[in-house]
Amino acid sequence: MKLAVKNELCSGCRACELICSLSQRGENNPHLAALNIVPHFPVPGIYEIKICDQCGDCAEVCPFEAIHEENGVYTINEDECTGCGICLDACPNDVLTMPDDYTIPIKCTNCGDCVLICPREAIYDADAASREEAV
Amino acid sequence: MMLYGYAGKILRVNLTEKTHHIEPLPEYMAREYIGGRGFVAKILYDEIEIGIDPLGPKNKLIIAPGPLTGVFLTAGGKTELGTLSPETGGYGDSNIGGHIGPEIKYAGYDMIILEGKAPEKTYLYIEDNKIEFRDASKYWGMECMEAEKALKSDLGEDFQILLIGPAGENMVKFACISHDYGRQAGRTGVGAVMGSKNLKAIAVKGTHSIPLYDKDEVINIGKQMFKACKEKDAEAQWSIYGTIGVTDWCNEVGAFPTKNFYDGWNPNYKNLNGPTAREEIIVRDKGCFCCPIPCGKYSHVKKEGYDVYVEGPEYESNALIGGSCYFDDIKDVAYGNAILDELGMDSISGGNVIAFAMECFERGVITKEDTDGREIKFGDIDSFKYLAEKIAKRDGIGDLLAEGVKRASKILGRGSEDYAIQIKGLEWSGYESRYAPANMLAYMTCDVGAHHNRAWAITYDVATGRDKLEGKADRVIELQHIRPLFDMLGCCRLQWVEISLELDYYPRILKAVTGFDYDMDDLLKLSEKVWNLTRAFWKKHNPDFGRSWDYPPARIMNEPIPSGPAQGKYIPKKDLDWLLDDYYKKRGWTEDGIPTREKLEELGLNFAVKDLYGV
Amino acid sequence: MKITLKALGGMKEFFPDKKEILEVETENGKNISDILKDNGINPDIVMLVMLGGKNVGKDYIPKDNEEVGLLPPLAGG
Repeated sequence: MKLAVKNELCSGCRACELICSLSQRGENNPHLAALNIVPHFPVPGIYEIKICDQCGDCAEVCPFEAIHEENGVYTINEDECTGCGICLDACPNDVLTMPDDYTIPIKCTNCGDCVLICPREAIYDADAASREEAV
Repeated sequence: MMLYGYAGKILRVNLTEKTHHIEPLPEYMAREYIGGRGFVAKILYDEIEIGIDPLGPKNKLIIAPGPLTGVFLTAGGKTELGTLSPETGGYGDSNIGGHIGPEIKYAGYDMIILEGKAPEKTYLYIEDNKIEFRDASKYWGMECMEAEKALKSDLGEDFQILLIGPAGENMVKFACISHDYGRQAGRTGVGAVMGSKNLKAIAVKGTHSIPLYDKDEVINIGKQMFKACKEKDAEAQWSIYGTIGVTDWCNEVGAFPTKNFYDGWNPNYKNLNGPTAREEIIVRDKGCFCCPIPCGKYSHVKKEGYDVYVEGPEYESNALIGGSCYFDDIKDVAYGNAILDELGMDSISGGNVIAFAMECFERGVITKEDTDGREIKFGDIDSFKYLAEKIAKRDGIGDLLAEGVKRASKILGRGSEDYAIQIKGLEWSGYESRYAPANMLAYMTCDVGAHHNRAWAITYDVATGRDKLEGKADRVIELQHIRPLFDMLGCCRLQWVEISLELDYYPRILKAVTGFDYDMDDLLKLSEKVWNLTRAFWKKHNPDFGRSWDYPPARIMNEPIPSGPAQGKYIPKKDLDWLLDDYYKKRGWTEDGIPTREKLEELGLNFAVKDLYGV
Repeated sequence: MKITLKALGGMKEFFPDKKEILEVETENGKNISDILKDNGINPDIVMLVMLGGKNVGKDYIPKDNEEVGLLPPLAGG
């Protein structure tokens, strides 16, 4: 499952943020999501969907080597993470966050719930899309 | 007792003293009034003193999301604002979408009550429990998009903003409150009240979670609702056009307001319809919080003389600008919509007022002496822009027009009251109803004035007989209970209205969110209670309120539609009386349209009995 | 020949017996508007006639065994 986006289809609803916070954090609170919808208004009038594209920049800078890659997905090891927060600034998409009361950053786990809920197919699974094309 | 789905707190703000107070939300409010419109109606009834000036410091502006606002379901993004209306002198409310309601819930509030008047130009800063009264002089005078952009730039993009434009600052009686680059709480002059309090904006950021009674069930039902919407056949068609998609049909049945509601169709309607808008101006589908079927259409409108962005035109703006002001180019309509949005004026009332002025000029009731030597014409975008700007500044003829058509026509005289298209002082929304008795009745009895939010019944009229009067009251009453229920819950009704999402999702998700075990009949009874409460509010504040306030103007009662599919049709007063008699009887109201003592007691509104009937 | 009429949106309420699916017998060459009138449905309450995801309009002449969806007016909010 590889998250990909088509910004032009996004209507800014943020259902993706809400389902992420619910399924990953157990909280009804889009501010705890591991992705972010950024409106660009009044000009040009488009929503930018910021997702974790598993680039690994966070893992590279982690001084405690607490972020590990498996099958293309980077995950924070909660026992190894010290909550130093150095990875937060390294994220090129600004989707690594550490809200108050959190000792470990919130990071996308590639669960795909955002893909399933998006009513616009603005967030989609690029792997599934290329499999479909191949058929 | 723990309340789920609610923040459990009311934020009461004293703008005069620059203080605030956080009160617990009483459990009975949540259980009996639910939220949103229910909260607005109850607080206004209890707290607004008789005889106050709606633009004075004793009026209050209530902002209330509902238990389903900010929560995981389809379109849980709606918030009700309410006040003693400066335009009508009665119950005023207005609903807004976008993202403000969820943010208020995340900041930890179920309701914000704004009282008093700030001594200086102010904006209210709310970040969770940090409440500050900040200097707004930098933003005062800015048009809406510019002001929102400036505030977000200064405070952070994650703040949600409610704001007024120059029209609200100058207390134009139909000024709106704006949000999210193109959404408004349009009707009843809520923007004028905000301006009267010297309040330019409210900036909100919230970081709390909303507690859920049964989180797994909320996720389960929410996902079902999203899936159901996706599978509806009507979904794709709706999402392409949004509400402007009904323009063709309204013209084809003669229900399109035309030339100040003189006629019932615009022969150039194909230049104003959904496909034309999609092709020529729409650049983005723009929606509210968690909505799977975004109705908002963000447009880029370029023509010689202008280059603007606007969220719209949605059907109402299309009807009141394209139809009532009589344009034949969707670009001019969109530009007119942008002008009103940027100045911060309700496009329904604004379109009506400008159309009224255009007709007055045609008839010589307003002349070049009143318009700086300028000729005012229907269908002329320069006339439209000129009038809009005069109104926003309350300059010259604009100062009179800023009062709304009811008051303006009283002062202008010369028969202009006959074509001041309003009921109870609120200008008519976008449906010519002289050949639609159920819809006419809906407008007559709507509790904010001539608006279709509470009941929209033209299809019912067409399906069951447009000349028939029987059965229409029953239908209107039914709609007046179910439609505003959504405004109490704090979510959008269009998933049910437009694509037939099943109603039984709503009591189910309400139970999962709050734990309240209500079925649909229970909820509709609570909605009926609020309906009677707002009617009682009108009577409490206006001793002569009654049947006479429900009538439309003379044009609607006496003039047959001159052309088009509904040519020759109108509803004479004797038939309007028949409809009202039937309606009042079925509602349990007196012949003068006042809830009886028995009806008030049946609904648990005993506290209103004393106000209406003495002891 | 036979065609199927499907009630979309709020149309069900205005179909005979409030059914969602109506199979009707009709003649070749008749358009949707006339077929509706023949079956006691007022064509004025139909806003869109959907076939294969596209609006074909009330003047459309259906072929044997086709299924069209009928949508009433969007209630303008």
